[in-house]
Amino acid sequence: MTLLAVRDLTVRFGRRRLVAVDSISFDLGPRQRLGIIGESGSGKTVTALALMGLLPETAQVSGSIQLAGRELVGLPDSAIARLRGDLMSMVFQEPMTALDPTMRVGRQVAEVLLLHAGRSGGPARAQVIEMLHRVGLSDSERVADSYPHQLSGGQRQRCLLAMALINSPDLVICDEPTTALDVTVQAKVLRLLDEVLTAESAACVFISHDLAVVSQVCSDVLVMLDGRIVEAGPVARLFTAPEHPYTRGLVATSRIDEVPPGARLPTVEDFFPREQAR
Amino acid sequence: MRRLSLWLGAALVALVVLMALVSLVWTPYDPTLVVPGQRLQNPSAAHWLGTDAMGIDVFSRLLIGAQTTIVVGVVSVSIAAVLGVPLGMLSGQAGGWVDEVVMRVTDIAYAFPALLLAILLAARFGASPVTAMIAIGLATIPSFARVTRAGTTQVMSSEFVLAARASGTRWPGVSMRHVLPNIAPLIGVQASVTFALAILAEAALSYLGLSTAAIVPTWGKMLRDAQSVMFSAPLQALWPGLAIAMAVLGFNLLGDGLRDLLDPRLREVT
Ligand SMILES: Nc1ncnc2c1ncn2[C@@H]1O[C@H](COP(=O)(O)OP(=O)(O)OP(=O)(O)O)[C@@H](O)[C@H]1O
Ligand SMILES: [Mg+2]
Repeated sequence: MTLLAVRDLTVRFGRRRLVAVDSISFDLGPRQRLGIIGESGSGKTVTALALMGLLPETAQVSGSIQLAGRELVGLPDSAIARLRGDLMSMVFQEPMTALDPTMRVGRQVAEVLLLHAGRSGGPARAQVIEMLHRVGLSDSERVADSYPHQLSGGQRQRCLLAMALINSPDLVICDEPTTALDVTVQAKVLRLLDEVLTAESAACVFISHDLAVVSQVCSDVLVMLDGRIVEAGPVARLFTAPEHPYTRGLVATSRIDEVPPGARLPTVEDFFPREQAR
Repeated sequence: MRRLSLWLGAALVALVVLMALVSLVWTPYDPTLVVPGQRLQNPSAAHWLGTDAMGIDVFSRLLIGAQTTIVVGVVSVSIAAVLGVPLGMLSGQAGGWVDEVVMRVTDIAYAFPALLLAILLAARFGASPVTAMIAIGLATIPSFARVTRAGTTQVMSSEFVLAARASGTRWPGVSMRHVLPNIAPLIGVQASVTFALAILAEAALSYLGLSTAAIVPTWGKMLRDAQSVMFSAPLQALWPGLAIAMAVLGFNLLGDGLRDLLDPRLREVT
């Protein structure tokens, strides 16, 4: 049984109907983790927002998105809103801007809980504190009572993780959740994400432009280029036997540790000359 | 420097409020008591700011006038905010044709002369502080709506609104819990500046005889009364003029100070 089935998903923008996502299809089973990689502008965020039903009104979505047997394309926003934060949730790229600066962090996390379960204030707080603790915030009481600007980037990103996971969703969509963090914090947050996803037995769509990052969390990966899926398969196979020249480029750039000292770093263009391809 | 304008503004505003409060319980003389034998006296120990052309104690009138000033400001700002803020939020959140319609209507309302509105209302319902307040309130709705809309669109495009929606928050929740708290500083600044505008407008309307019935003491009415004795007793115009200037300056400085104080945080939002 698949959790998420996407068929011929196409997203166009504006009157000129510019195609941002071009007829993509994929499946995701329960607890499965799927990475989506691709360069900037390849349509990763648009895909994620389409899954969440959060695209602006200027976007036209066609095709089919089935989540746990429910068709989401064409569903009114009020119906999808019920699923958001409960059945599926999302972690955003920018921890600096994804939290409301006027609200204490604990309340923001509690909000997600109350929106769906309708529980009263007291037990909600206890649950929030526990969740913050589980995402690695040891002084969770203090963090819960802080405003976002009083926290570091890593702490904020953990809060976003807590928000995304507190209702034990079946599907968590992560849009470059660690890109804005420095490398050591990034590694910690990734390990944590891996643990919490396992503990909550949630499936995950993990978006990144970095194959190395994706390989730490995901078993399978899609490669996107200009809104299309150009290659898909297990991460291990993509590393050892990439088929598409663009993927070969991505693999080479993610292995800079194998470049002899002094040699020029590889770029994707060495493998995939874009001008020719167009 | 920035803090200075905030504190100076707050102090001036506090002074006006204090005058109004004191006048509720005490004035040196009855501010409506006409004493024909004491017309146009100079400032003295008995009458600190002298007496006016009707022999009324100027200081008492000034104190009572602060009440009208505060009431006019509060009521007109409330009218403008209660109608303008939801309109601006609706416009900024709905977007599309709703936004288009609301903004065109406010454009037209903006172009409509506020004074003409006051004259029309006074002609229809009689000149009184109530019609003046309603006229000023209605006339300042468009600027409230515009400021609110600008703030709302900015907040709506922020990632934390997207994140809130991704958690299942629907638009009423987004409005009340995220948009309103984030634009509150903007609204505060606008309210303060509009308050100053309302004081000035009320004074102008009183001066033109479009606000005050003969008995209600206001600073604008005092200016009007002073006009007839302008050359023989220039001080008569000075006192209410100073009071109006002080109140207007106070609210404007307070607005500016608030803006400076809150701007860094507003910038952090985006
Ligand atoms: N609201 C919008 N209106 C019009 N075009 C849009 C809109 N949002 C995205 N696009 C277009 O869709 C395409 C894909 O954008 P998307 O944000 O999905 O890229 P991405 O893969 O997430 O890139 P990045 O790695 O930089 O985040 C881009 O060409 C972009 O210009
Ligand atoms: Mg993106």
